[in-house]
Amino acid sequence: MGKYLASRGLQALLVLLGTFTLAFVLLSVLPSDALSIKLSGAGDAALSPDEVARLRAEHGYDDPLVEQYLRQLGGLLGGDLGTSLHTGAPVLSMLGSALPHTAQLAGLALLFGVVAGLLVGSVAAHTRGPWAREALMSLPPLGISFPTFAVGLVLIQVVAFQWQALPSGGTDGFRSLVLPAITLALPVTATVAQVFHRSLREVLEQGYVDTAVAKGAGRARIHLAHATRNAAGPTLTATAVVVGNLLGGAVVTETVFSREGVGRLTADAVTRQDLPVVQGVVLLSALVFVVVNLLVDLAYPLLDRRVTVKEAVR
Amino acid sequence: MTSTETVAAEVAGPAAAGPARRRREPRRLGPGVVLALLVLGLAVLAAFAPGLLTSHSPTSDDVLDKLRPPSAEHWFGTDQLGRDVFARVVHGAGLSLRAPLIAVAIAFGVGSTVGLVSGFVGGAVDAVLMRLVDILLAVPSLLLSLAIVAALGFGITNVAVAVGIASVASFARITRAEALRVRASPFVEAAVVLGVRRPVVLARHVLPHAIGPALVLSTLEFGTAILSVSALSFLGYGEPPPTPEWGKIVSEGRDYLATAWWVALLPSLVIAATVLATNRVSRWLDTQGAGR
Amino acid sequence: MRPQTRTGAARRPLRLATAAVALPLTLLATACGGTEAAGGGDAGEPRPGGTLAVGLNTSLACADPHQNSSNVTIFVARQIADSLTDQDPETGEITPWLAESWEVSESADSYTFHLREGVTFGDGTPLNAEAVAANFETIADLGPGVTPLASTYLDGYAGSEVVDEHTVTVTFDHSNVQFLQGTATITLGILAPATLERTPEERCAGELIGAGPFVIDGYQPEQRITLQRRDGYDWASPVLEHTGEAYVETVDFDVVPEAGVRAGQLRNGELHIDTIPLTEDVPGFEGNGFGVVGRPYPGVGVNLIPNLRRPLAGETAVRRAIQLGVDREEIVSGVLTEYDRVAENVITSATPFFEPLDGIAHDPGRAVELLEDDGWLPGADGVREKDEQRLELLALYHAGRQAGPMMELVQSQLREIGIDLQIRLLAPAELADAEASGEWDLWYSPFHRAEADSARAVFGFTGRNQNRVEEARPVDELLQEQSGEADPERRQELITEATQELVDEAYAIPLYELAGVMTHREGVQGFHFEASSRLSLYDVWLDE
Repeated sequence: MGKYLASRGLQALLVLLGTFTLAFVLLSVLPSDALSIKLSGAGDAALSPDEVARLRAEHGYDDPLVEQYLRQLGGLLGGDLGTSLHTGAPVLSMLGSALPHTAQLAGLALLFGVVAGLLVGSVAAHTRGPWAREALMSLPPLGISFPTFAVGLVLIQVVAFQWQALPSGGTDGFRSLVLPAITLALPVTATVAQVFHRSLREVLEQGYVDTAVAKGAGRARIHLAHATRNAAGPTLTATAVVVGNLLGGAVVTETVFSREGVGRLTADAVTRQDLPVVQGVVLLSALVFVVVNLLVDLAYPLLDRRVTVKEAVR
Repeated sequence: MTSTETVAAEVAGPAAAGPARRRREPRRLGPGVVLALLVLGLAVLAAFAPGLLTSHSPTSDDVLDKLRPPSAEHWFGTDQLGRDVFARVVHGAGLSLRAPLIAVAIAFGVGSTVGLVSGFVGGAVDAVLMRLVDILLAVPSLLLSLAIVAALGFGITNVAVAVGIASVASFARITRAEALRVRASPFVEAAVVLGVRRPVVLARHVLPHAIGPALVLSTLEFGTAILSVSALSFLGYGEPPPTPEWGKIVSEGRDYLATAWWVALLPSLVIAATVLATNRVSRWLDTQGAGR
Repeated sequence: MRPQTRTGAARRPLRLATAAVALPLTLLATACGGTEAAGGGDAGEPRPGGTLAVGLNTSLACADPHQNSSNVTIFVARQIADSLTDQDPETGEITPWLAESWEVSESADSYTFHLREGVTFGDGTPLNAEAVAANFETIADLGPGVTPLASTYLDGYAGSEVVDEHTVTVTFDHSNVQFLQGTATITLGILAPATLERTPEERCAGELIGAGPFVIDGYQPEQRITLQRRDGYDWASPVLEHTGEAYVETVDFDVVPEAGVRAGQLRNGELHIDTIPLTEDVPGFEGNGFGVVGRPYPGVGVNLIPNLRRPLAGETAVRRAIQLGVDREEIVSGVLTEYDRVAENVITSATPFFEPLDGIAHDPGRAVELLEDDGWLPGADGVREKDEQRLELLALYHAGRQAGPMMELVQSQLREIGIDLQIRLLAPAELADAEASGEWDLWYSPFHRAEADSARAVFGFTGRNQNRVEEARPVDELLQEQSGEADPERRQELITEATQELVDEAYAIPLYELAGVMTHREGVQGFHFEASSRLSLYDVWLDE
């Protein structure tokens, strides 16, 4: 187990390093470089070319790219993600103060999405009428075809403006969290429902369920004990990918609902070409990705008996 | 990471789910498919000949006639400047569909090339390319395209490129898997044994047999790309006004949601209908065994 | 142009005769008065306490009022920093504040301020002559590169002399009549010496201490800025309604970019004040438990300002065609509110020395003639061309109230006379860089200051020179001359002559007079704009 964990951990670190490198390369090709944006924050005087040159040197923009890369990497290891070109605040603390809001939103969205998805998926799988099943399973494609912003706008229009049941936005308390979470949950619901339904069907069609029935197990028990348990693995894996996408969806959702959080931080940073912040968000998403995948890899054998990880023997 | 691999296929949807799911259905057009084709047909018509669908101009305004609800004269009502929303949607179809097309072309071109080379050459090349793909997969595609747009600057072409690059990974994976399969097949091995040069084998024998799933994936990714492009346009990274784009029309209209819901919501419905239609057609093509 | 320092007074009442929509009488009071308390009638004695939530539409690019003069920065900074003087909203008269009295030399090149005693900054340090001198010295040292607007207020600054603990003399190397009004603005707000020792970047990031009735308690410029009432504050400007500490205990400035969401939050009580409502939402907040405060901004109104270094904007015929091609009535009645007015001068009617000018009219026929005489003939797509060049101009603007719809409307109006106007919205942080780059033909520039010298500050060769001319024009000499003219009658002549020249040459294309319009909940009592139509929260209390 230890060896397995170590290799997984190393792989995760490599992905993180790769993401950092990718982000660095990507953002170094920017046509108007970061310095001119930084200068603009301080005022607009036409600085003399000499002054600009001095500032460039001072901020290290004239150093070879490799040197800049290593310096940034060193900073990263020391927990320094650089500072925002726009506000001058450290990127790490900006992410830190925005993250709890997004974590709440994503957490609730995940909960809504997984519960609703499992419900739709299992009801559809256990529905005998093919027509009713078809109807149920046409919901997920519908769910992923609607642009996130449109879903949010419809909810605002109907629930917040017409019914006045929930706030149309903001970051105050649980009530303001519900509509954005539903918006963000929709693609999760769709994916989970689809994957869970498919794996349930496959499992139900497999032989050992028949064996169980032959042995006298009740239909309901089979679903619970066998099928669901075996279908949970793929579903968990699919959910893991969706977790990463939540961060992308949060950009649109938080913008539509004027919520605080990493998503809005990202949208603002892109608008202002605030590259250190963009880079920080990209790294954060990669971190979320590797951590979630690590957890899924560890949980997978526990859920699906057919999967055995050689090293997983304690 | 093994889990990603499975999931890439799972989430990519039916087209990528592998032959196990492929059920032959009769070659009959269901009403759903007919409707989907009709919607797509209208979208394409709007993109190429918007004048056939509306006589209103998308940019000429009449502020005294602003924020009027849908009527026989203005099917989708008018916006904050009194412009015909339906005309803006119709005239916006060109850019809003061309950008996803470019995006998919980039993703298909780059992704399948990487996948083919990786799967066919193998070894260190494969390892390096696949680690790169892993990295691309580690960042949610919308975030990745946002970062690329931040680096490239705004405008619909840059948005298209960004969305395209962000979806390279799934094409690379699916093509690599096919390339691996094809490489192991007797006729490729035979060609190699016969001394045919490797690039020629790749182009003549591997490519045609390995590209099918990527083609099917393209149709599915087109729907996703419409959504991504419209999201980026909604966030304000597309063309400057007055050029209409679907995401931007919605974004401009959302301020008026309380007083004039149609400005934002009717264009949203058009986007959803187009994506839904694309996905339906893609699924249908898949079941027809297209690209096989 | 970015600076939007709001200062000064509306000397003239809003002129209803020309307003597109007649104002209901109840609104007239708040629209014109400026100091009238908003809210529903007699709410009784002010009650201290509570949290006031104020909605902003964009984040703060920088919190330091010396460096940044955008709307949102001023809204926040005005509550935490006091100024040497204040300005009576009714009369425009400069009144004492941190300075109890002052003397101005005959030639207006030396100002001596006698400071009020017993004033302290938020960090407990005393306000003294040295602190005031340090403020001006710091601004002068940083220069126009870092303190663009404040530097124009200190035009010709020679130095500050500490006479004694509470007396300071500021001298200029030529006369500078607008400086006194400048001391009433937050742009020359007095900051604590400890703050001045910080780097400009640190001050931008919210490390800011003044002598005002509130202190910064939390600073997340993208999301929320929290102010805390200051205990022991006892030097409110006499222009305000009460003395002692402010009423509300906490102020939350919430950054909510979506106008629709802000309106919703105001409706359900998450916000008390929306600082930048949508035109379409304003009528819905007149009454029914809500209120609207609207008051014209003084200073340079909303003008399009041509960049004369660019080939197309440099052509007089093109500029004049734009001048005649825009339909100001349509702009105001189409996308603005009943509080905004059609422009009659480069400066607004709420500015001292305002006089209506000739030649600001809509005449598309004449505009077309001008263009055709100049050789601009319609091309295939209706856009005019000359020597194979398209008549395409780029206008940059920022997120002012209704700026987006307004610019799109102008775009379409100019399209009708064959001009292709490209418009681009800039984020707060992009503005300065974009302006300095000079890669634009037209600039959108409200600049709010109750001083006719605002025209020099924007257009003058010694000001920000937004026309980007290489050498002084005749109009620059007029603008410079008025800024040193102590005789009001002569100054009036000079200002009218100069602004008329700006219009005749189409160095400025006046569009409309923007008003400060804010919506609020009825429970917000004592809410009024200052002289400058800027947000003042000192007198506000909550009746909920």
